[in-house]
Amino acid sequence: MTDLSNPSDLPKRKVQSLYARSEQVQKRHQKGLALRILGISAITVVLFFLCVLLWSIVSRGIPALWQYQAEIELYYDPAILNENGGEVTPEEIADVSLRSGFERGIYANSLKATIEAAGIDVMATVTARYADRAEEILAQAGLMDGAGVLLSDLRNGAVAGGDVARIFGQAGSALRGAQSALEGDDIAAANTALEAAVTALSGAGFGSAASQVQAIADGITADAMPAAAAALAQTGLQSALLDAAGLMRQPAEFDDAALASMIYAANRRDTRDYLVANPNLVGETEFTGVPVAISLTRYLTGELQGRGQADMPPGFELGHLAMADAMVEADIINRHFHWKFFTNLYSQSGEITGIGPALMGSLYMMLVVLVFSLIFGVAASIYLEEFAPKNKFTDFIEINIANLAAVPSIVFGILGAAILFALTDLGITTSIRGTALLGGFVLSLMTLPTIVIATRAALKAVPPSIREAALGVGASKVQAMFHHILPLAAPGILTGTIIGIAQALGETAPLLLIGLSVSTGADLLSSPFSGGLLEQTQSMPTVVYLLAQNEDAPVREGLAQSAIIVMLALLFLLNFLAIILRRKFERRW
Amino acid sequence: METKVNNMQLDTRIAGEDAIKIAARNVQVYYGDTHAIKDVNVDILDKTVTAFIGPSGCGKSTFLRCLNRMNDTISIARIEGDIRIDGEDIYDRRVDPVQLRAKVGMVFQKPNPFPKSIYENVAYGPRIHGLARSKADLDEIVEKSLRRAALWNEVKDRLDAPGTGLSGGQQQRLCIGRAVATNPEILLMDEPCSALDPIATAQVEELIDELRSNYSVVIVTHSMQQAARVSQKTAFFHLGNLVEFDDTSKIFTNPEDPRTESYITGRIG
Repeated sequence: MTDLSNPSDLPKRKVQSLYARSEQVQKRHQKGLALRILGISAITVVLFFLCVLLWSIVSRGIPALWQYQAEIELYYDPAILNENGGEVTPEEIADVSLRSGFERGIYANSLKATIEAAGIDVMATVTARYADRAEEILAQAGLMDGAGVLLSDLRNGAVAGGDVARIFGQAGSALRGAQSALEGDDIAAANTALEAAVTALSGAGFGSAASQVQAIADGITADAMPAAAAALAQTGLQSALLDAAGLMRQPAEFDDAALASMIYAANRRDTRDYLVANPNLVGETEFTGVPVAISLTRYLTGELQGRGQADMPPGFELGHLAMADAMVEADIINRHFHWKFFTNLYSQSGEITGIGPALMGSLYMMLVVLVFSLIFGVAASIYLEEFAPKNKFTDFIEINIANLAAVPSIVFGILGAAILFALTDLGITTSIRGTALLGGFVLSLMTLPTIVIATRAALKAVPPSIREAALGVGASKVQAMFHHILPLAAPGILTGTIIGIAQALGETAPLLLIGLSVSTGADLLSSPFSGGLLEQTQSMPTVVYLLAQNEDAPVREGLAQSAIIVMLALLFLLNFLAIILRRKFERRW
Repeated sequence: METKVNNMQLDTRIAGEDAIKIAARNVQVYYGDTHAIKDVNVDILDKTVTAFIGPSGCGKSTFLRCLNRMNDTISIARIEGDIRIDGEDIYDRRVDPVQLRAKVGMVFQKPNPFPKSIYENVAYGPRIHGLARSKADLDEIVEKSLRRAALWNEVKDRLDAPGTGLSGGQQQRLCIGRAVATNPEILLMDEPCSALDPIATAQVEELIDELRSNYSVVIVTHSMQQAARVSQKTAFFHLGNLVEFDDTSKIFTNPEDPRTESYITGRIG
């Protein structure tokens, strides 16, 4: 049946072993390999950055959740609460002026008492640290011959810091006088000043320094005065002595206020309210962990390691460091899990800042988003998918829903702001600015397209045979939808909804525009059913934003990350919920 | 299973009664610009199995779906002409398709039980039409329907098992049981055996023959043997036209139209 008349016209077959790869197959293999390498390297890069991200968050955020606290015996001194003495009644406490700073007294006195009870001599501890520092400076300038005895006397308490400071100061001042005289052009005056310096130095026991200055004074001529001035400055004696004198004056200035500044005294309003609620505490002692000052946290976390005095936070001196070390050693300062971070209100002060209202606000907003966007989203999808006539208008709506999903979130924030303005124009006085209701509403609008798209995809994925079967037995369109199609599409709808809500949870930009960033004084919310939705609130992402802008590094680099971890945990929880619900709703057959 | 003897002889293919159940006049169906059904006139009798045969794409399924207005769900389909069931125009504006479909049950090509239990599959129709007053009523309807679908004995012990877990033939019989549960007068079957093996096909065919005693059955089939086995009346469709409609014995032994003859002898199609 072939048209070929001659068998020799058939193409000659080359004998090709199956074991040998042909060129074409080889090329295909190469391409496949290249694709595989590309894929693996892409995944590696992604994993690497994911790990870096997670590590940077976890390594800072988790330790920040353990707060340094000073455990003190808090004594609610009736003498402070009632200046006139005598019985302290709750009414009187409620009347205590918040301006009196009574809580400072309570906390400062209690801290001091606790420290003393632990056997720490505040003055000695502080003095010793300054003496150490002075010793470093003086040793560098070769002045230990005279200072050694003084400093050890100082540590023993045989001599006061102020006296030592005066001795160092006099010698230093004499040197300063010599220096300025050398920088002038009166050689006689310079000689006199130098002699005075030598006398002062040797008088104070700085023998080697005295001979150094003497050497400069001996060889002096009118021409060589600038050179002598440079040589004297080169010795560094003057600055060392003056610095040491400065340090020695410090211990005397380390007073009770300086000690009290190491801890964060609770908010005075909180203290008062607490006492009004627990009046029997007056005159009693309570063992409490009080957060240490944020500057101290910086020191304790090692951030201030190797910084000079000039780089210390304002109002934070060597004495504070000495006390901190002593308190850590005496087991007064300890790290504790920072439970209050989850319930405290947001505050500029890193010691007591928290994410309580933000966490609640975010949860409330998610509730609002769930109700709004699920109802409207599913309703819109069912209508578009099942009932809407297919015409240009519905096409237009469909395209715009897809477009809406791509609209930058800040635009929705502007929409929310517009609602605010419109309400103000209408003369509605109850402010919904910064409330969970408005925030949730704006986020719902943002989430709606995501849910509509996911729901429509889920509805489309239900086999048409189910729809036909339902219609075939005489179910109406609505019955077919709600009895058969919607239950089958539920897992898909659920997934879309949770993705949408997760997205809404992390959204910052629109909330900034409707006042959720400035409501920093927001309190914990009441139940959503008793007006909690209409109270000023915050949201997690905006609080992360605020925390990340804090001037204190432990907040900026620690607590902000902790808040992010809470947010991530919430997201994981949501996803987990999605999986559970999917499993539950998915057809069992 | 008690079955009436069906000796499958063509000469016994005579219509049960002469009462006309469905009367179609000048039916035209358009899918957009395509003219899918051209001027079809047909009278379908009560208590009779009517088979629609013809090559793929000839419009037989489309016409079948006109009979219970399933084409309404296709937005581009447009139907003209006059289809009357018991003298009532089913495309009249007063007719609710839901009510119509309760009267005209349908079984589809692919078995499509709901992803629910066997019981729920059958009970769904009666429930939404309010046919059962009590649970006992419903139980009775389910049993009766499953018996009618010749499935009762196989599933009576596992009514709570998923309908989708049955075999293909059982699923199709379940669908038939579901269709008869709403107590329809007409049963439309769109290639009900095309997804089944020969044994399941034989069971379903036997069932169809039994259903004839209560219903007017219209069946679309690709298999001429099946049409010959189960139907009393046969309609041959070709390219949207109803070419010939007559007693099954006549169509298969002595067709009038040369196209019918070509088709049943295997020359076209």
